[in-house]
Amino acid sequence: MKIVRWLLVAAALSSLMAILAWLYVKTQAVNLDRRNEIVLHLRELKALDAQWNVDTLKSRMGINKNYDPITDPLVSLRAIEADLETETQTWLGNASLGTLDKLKKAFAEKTDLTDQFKSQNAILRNSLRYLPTGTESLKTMIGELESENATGSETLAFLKTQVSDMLTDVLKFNLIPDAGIAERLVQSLAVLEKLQPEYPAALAEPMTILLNHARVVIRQRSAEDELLKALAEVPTVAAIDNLGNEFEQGFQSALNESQQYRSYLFVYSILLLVLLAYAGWRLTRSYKLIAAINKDLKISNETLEQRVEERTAELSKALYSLQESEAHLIQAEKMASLGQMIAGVAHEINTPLAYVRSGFETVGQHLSELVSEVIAESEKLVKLVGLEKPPIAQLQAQYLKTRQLQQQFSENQVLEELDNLVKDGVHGVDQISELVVNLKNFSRLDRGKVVQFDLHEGLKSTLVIAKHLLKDKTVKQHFRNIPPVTCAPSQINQVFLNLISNAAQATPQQGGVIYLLTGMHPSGKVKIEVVDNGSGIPEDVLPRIFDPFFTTKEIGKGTGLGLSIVYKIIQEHGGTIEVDSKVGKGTKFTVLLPVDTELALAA
Amino acid sequence: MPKYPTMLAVVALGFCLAHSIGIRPAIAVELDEPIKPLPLEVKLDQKKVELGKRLFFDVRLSKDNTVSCASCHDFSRGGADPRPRSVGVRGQLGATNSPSVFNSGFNFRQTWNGKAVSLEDLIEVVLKNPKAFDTNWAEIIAKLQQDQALVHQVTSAYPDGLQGKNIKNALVAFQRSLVTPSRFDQYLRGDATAISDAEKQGYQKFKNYGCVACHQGINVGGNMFQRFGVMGDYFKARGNLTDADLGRYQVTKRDSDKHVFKVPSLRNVAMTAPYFHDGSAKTLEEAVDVMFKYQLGRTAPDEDKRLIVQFLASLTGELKGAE
Repeated sequence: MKIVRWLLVAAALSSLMAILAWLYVKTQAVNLDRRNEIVLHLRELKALDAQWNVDTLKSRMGINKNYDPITDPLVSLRAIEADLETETQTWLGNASLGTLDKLKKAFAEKTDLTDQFKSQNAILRNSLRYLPTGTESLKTMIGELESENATGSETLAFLKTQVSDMLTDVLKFNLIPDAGIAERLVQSLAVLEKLQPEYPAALAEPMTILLNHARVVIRQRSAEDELLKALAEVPTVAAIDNLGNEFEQGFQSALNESQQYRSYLFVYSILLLVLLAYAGWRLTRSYKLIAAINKDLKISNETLEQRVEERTAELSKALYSLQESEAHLIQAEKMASLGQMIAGVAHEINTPLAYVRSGFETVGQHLSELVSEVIAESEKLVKLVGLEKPPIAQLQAQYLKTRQLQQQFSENQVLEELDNLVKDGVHGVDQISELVVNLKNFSRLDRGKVVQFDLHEGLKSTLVIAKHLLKDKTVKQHFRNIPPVTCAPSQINQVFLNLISNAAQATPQQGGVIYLLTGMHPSGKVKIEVVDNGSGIPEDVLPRIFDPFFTTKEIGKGTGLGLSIVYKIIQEHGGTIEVDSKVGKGTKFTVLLPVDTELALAA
Repeated sequence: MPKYPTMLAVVALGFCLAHSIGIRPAIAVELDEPIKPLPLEVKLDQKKVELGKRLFFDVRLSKDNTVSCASCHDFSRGGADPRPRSVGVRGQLGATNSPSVFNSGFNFRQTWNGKAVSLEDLIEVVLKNPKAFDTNWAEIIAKLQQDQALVHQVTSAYPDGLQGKNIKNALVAFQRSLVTPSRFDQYLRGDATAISDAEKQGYQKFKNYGCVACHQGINVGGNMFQRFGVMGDYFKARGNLTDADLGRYQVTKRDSDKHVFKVPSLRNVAMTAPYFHDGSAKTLEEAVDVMFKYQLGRTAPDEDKRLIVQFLASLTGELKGAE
């Protein structure tokens, strides 16, 4: 989603920029550099054209000694024309190629005329160069003939004059190609030709050559004038100007267009600026927000550690107090158990103690009276016997009295009764002693550590301890052969006591039956079952009975920790405890303990 | 008279002074003559020139791989064809004698009738002429494409690789490099001893008789057209009129252009026999005779013609750069 959003933003931005760029390009449609270049090209062409004209005239006048100056422009001309063609197509479209074609055509014509001019000018100059020398050598020849031969000297003299006149006229005609001179020249040439048969044979060839060249001059000079006239009429300048005008118009319209786009660009730029300002405002706001958050973050970062420390301290304090209260509670439970136990134990001790006491009281009362009388009478007798002259009467009386007492003693079976009383007292003491042993066994205060323990012994001790709870209840024991279990006996006994006392509490006053069953579970663990036929545990309570502080008893009567501690102890021994109960039918607790709990615990 | 020694001293002093501060007067001053010297150097891309040279001798430019540019432009014969008429593909006889390729860059148009306005044009003309190379660029490119070394060379000179326009450009570059400055050029640049007295006299005759009216400029010709037979009918005298004899008429179809030809350059003319578009003059002397008769329309003593021929030999130059 984020990528899509970014792409959208990027697309929007690029299209905005593209529009800007497009408008900008549109305003730049008129590239002034290129426009100047075209203008420069046209000026160059004009200059070339003008120089070409000048050079043509210079060649005509014989100032230029060769035709390179009127030939060289061709190379530049071709280059400029090629450039102009590209520019025309770029700037004005194919429609204006016609104007360019006119220009090219004009220059092609000029080129062609110049080529013709060169050809004819070369011929003219050749003849003009020859004519004076040719005339001179002809006149020399005529002179020689005159001196050799007197005959026909008139003709020769006439010829000489005619040739001289012709040369003058040719040179004149070359300077000013006047129609009058031309006419005269043609006439004199015709006369000279007509006279030819009358000349000496030796003059025939030089005369023909001379007349030929004279004719060439007349012909070429007229042609040259026509060529120059045609050259002057080639509309090169007009063509250049036309093309220049079209370029200028094209530029002007492009300029107008770009002016229009410039105003669009202006408006668009203002819009963009507004947009930008808005974005900037948004950005500043966001930035401020971020800065504020950052600041808070920084502050909280700085205090975080401190706060963590505080919280940790608080937590460890809470944990400590929790542990403490848990220990208190456990202690309270222990004290409660102990109270129960002590009550039972006190009751158990009280009974034998009562008859031991009554026995001793009886013995004390009877023995002190009888024995002290017997002893007193016996002492009197002994005293009488001991005298040198014993009063026999007295002795006899005393004897009889003592004898009577003795008989009374045996007749009353005092000694037997005493014996019985002592025996009873010993029995009571024995009973108390047995109880103390069991108590010792149960608590195992001396053996808190893990030992091998006979569970049956533990169960039996527990039953003794809990005897007071089990009055009027039937306890049925089904003990199978089980190995000693490595465990903490006091804890296991606590479990047994808890389970048995729960069972005792659950069963009714009359007809309550508690089964204690032991045996081996198929898993190899030792199984202990405590079953009662009591009220059972409701289903909604059942899942919670192992929870700490859960109790169904009245407030103050139970801690609610009993079964949770049971659970904990069994768990610590690597065993399990399960409960199965039906309301009105009874409850069964099944404890499974591994034989070697240490191993199980280690595992 | 005492004025002169004083002036001489002043001039000498000035000269020394100017010389000592670095102003050295140009001792050799270029002569103001109708003929102009060749430039001292022609600036060209040497890579392109090298490539052009290779292509100039490459027969693959012709359809049947039998002729190259060099076939008709023999470098040992002044860059021209010693045969009266050149031979193209399939042994076909061409219409004219091939003019020299040397200094052809200074001609205002190419070919005898001026059909090609540039060297580039000339290549196209020769290439497509069925009697010359009779081919086209596609064919040539297909053939040259096989030559990896050549393709590599083309690419190193032209980034856009093997293309007709590049081959053409390279050939033109090579042709422009074929400049042959001669002893006469040195003379024109002011070295009066570069040519002999006889050659100087010959040059004088060359000017006086009017040869120079057409054979002038930097290329001693090559910058104009002229009718062959100004002062007499050359073709009538020769007979066997061919299409090629029509000259510029072939291009313009204008009657006045019949028998009009490009005035050929006379540089290296002593090396380029036979002469004229039809190769009819086997020797330079013969050619000079024909010129006197039909172009100048006059006669001259043999001695003068001999001097002119001697002068013409001084136009033989040395090929600079590429050989």
